Amino acid sequence: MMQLSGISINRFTKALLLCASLWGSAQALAQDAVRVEITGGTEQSLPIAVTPFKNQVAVINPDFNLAQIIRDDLARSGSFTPMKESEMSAAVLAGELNLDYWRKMLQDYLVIGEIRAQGGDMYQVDMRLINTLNNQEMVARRWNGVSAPLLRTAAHQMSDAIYTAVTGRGGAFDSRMAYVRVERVQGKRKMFLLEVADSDGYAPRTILRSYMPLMSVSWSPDGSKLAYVSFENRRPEIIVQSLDGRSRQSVAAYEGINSAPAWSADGRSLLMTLSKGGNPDIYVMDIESKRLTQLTFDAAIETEAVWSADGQSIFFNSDRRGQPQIFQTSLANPRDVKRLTFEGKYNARPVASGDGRYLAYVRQDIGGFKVTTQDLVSGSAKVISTTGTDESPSFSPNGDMIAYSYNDYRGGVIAVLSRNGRAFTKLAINGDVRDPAWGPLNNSQ
Amino acid sequence: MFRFLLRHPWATLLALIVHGILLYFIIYGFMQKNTQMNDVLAEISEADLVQAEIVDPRVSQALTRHPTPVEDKPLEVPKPKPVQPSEQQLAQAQAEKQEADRQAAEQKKQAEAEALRKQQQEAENQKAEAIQKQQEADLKAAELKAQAEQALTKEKELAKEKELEKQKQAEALKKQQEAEKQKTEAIKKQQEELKKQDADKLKQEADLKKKIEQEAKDKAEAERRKNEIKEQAKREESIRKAMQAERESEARAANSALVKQESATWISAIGAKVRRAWIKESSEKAICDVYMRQSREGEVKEARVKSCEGEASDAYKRSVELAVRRASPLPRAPSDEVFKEEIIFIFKPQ
Amino acid sequence: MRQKMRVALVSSLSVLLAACSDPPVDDAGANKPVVVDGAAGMGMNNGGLKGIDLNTLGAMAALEDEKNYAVGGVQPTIYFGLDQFTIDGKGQAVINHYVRYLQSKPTASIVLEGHCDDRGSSEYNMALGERRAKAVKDALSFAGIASARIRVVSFGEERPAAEGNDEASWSLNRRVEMKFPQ
Repeated sequence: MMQLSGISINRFTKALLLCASLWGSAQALAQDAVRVEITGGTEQSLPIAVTPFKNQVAVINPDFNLAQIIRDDLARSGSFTPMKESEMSAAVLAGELNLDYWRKMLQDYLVIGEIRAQGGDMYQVDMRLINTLNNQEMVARRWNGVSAPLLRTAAHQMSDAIYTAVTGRGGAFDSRMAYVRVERVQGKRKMFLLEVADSDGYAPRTILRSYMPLMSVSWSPDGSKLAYVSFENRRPEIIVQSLDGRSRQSVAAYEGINSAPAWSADGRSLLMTLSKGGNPDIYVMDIESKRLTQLTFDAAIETEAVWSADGQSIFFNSDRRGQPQIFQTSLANPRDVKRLTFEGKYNARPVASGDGRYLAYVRQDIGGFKVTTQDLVSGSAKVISTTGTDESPSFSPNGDMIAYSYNDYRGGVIAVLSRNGRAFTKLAINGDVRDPAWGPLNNSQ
Repeated sequence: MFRFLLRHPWATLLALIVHGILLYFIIYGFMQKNTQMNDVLAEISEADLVQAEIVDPRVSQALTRHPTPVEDKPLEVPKPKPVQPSEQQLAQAQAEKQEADRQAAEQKKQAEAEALRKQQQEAENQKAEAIQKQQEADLKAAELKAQAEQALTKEKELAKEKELEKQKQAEALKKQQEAEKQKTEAIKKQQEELKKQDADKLKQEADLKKKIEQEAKDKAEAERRKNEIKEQAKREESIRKAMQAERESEARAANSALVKQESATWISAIGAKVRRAWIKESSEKAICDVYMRQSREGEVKEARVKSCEGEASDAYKRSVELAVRRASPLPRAPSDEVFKEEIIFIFKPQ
Repeated sequence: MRQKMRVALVSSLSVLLAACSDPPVDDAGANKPVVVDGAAGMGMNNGGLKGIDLNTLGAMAALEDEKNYAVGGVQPTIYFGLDQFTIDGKGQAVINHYVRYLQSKPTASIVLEGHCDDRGSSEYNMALGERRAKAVKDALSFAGIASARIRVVSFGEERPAAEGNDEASWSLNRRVEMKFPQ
């Protein structure tokens, strides 16, 4: 027995020693692995190739390019640089999946898809997102029973899926944009229209027409109503209209100014600017009861209030220091006002991103009036616009893009800036348009 | 006999096989002896080939199947050629010397042609090589000299042998004549002649013995001289080897410095390529370690994030992993000694 | 506690004022906006966009009260400098002229419409327009015209008199217009 155990212990020890030595040598080898420091990293958009969807032309009309809708969405975000369809090899597109080719073309990501007619003007669409560098299929999804008018929406949902898979952040393309259009009728008379389109400006629908000005549109958080300022009674009033056409009511028509409506995240209150107290101040109104609570009390002009992401405080514009600057105050203690902008002589029209991280506003500097972003955590501000007559910035639902309007020689133009400042896109909306308001995601019911 | 064979076919077959095998081995052995010389010649010319390619180590590596650091080793010393006494062989030796010189010149040309790739290091390499080659050429010349000397002594020997032969023949003739003379006078003076013959025979035998002894002495002398030359050559060789060893250690030291230099250059080239390939679309910052394994050709076989300091989103981790993949193929290591299969990249955003 | 009282006071005042102010939506019907049917809606998510037809477009005839009442050949418009709401000599002269007119017509009421040029934030310009109109109202009050007869409204940058993108147009837009409702 002793002998046996002696042997077995020996063997065990041997095995142990072997393991130990292996582990030790592995450690040594691991330490032997060279360590190379890489400092840098360029912040830039990611290259992605969205290939034409199979059967797209055969199945739908030749003018409809589903892949192009996705490309435009991704480019507008400022996080992607989609490859141009004209630069893709026709042979590769016609053949089997060839990741080597896309890798050689320096496209990190590849989107392939297919459309099938399901009869009755309905379609089935498949979409896949592949990482060409590690051959990983990141998204594989199918849309069933999509009617022809909703193919654009499906494309936006694909853009959102791609965006989220790659950046880790929520998408914003399956949403709507409201804005005001100005037209001339009978040659001279101006007409004002309130329109709602897709987030890329396509498929607009008119929901109100008026001979008097409309401005300052604000979406309810569930996307079912719009609040806006109308001069239909020859003075500024705040109207709330439901998009299904069922209701339209004036919620504020006091003496003086009734303007700058801003819906709360719970959909129950509206911030507004009222001057019935003698000078323009910020009030919050409970929509149900119409009860008002005054939030600012300075004799100066206070206007353009918006909610913070947590709903506990407001950002607004006040000229108590002489010229418009942006301030913050809490609902719990509205007298404790904190100034936020110290650069530039004129900072107005604040809007806050949904994640609570950023503010966007319009600053006047030598170049004119420019959309500026401010990091609420670090306090640092950055002018991101290259145009000079900017107005009414509005954050996308994911806070990564800002829609705004500016003037060119033809009139008002609505454009989208990526928050990182890398992408500037004019929306394809014709005519004299202004006051864009970016609605919530369409599936936020 | 034939019938016997036919009656026992299997035995015949077996016998044939056995004899065949035996024959084969005999012949093979014979051939071996002959081909040994050829092998030596082949070895030398292969060594020459490697030397010629040394300017571009990658090509030489492709030629040698296994990773033998041929290009980093100092030049191989060709083994001394076997003794060749004829003039034809001398001419061959000279031709070979010319060949070596030509190759040296050729190598110089090749080195210059590839100067761009490794500039300084290559120049130094070539210099060392040229010096080495020069020394080699010198060695070869000295060697050839020795060989020539050997040839001369061999010649002398042969001449001596010929002379001895001649002498022998002359004496034999003399003997014959004398015998004939004595034959005619045999009857008269048989007894006296017999005695004389005996006496003469004895004398001849003694003389022959002497001559044999002399021959042996000469042979010994020749042998002794031969050995002396051999010893000389050996001594020279050992000196040369000592110098060689010294040069080798110097070269190794230079080589390890070279390897170090090449390593640093290679690593920084890899670092630069990965840095250029690192793109991220957000302003997120975190320090991440990425483990990478590559093939000898520089193709990234495996890349994964090992750990991150600070909060890092999946998208950020992907950006550093993809940076390594995007940089594939990495710059090729100039030698197996420099090559490292595993590298850990530490990504530090600015 | 004081704050709550203040709020209550203000709220009740505002309720009273609201009662006193013009009726919210139903005016003479001349400027009724039309809610338009927004076609078939988004079947996938939100309910369809639909509009209601409150009035036909035909009812939107020419707006009579658009016309300015130039009394005695004096344009009832006061102009202002950039970011200014102080009244200069010319403006004062216009005011004096119309003070006399209002004094001669004791039942007449006046609406002061304040405007801005379109540079800068449109909401802030609403407030600036009101400041200008209020400055003219103060001048009229100072001259003895009762506050009850004066109504102040701001259109901000929304109703420019001139459309150009230059100082010539902008200076024409920085104004207060006097209107005399019938």
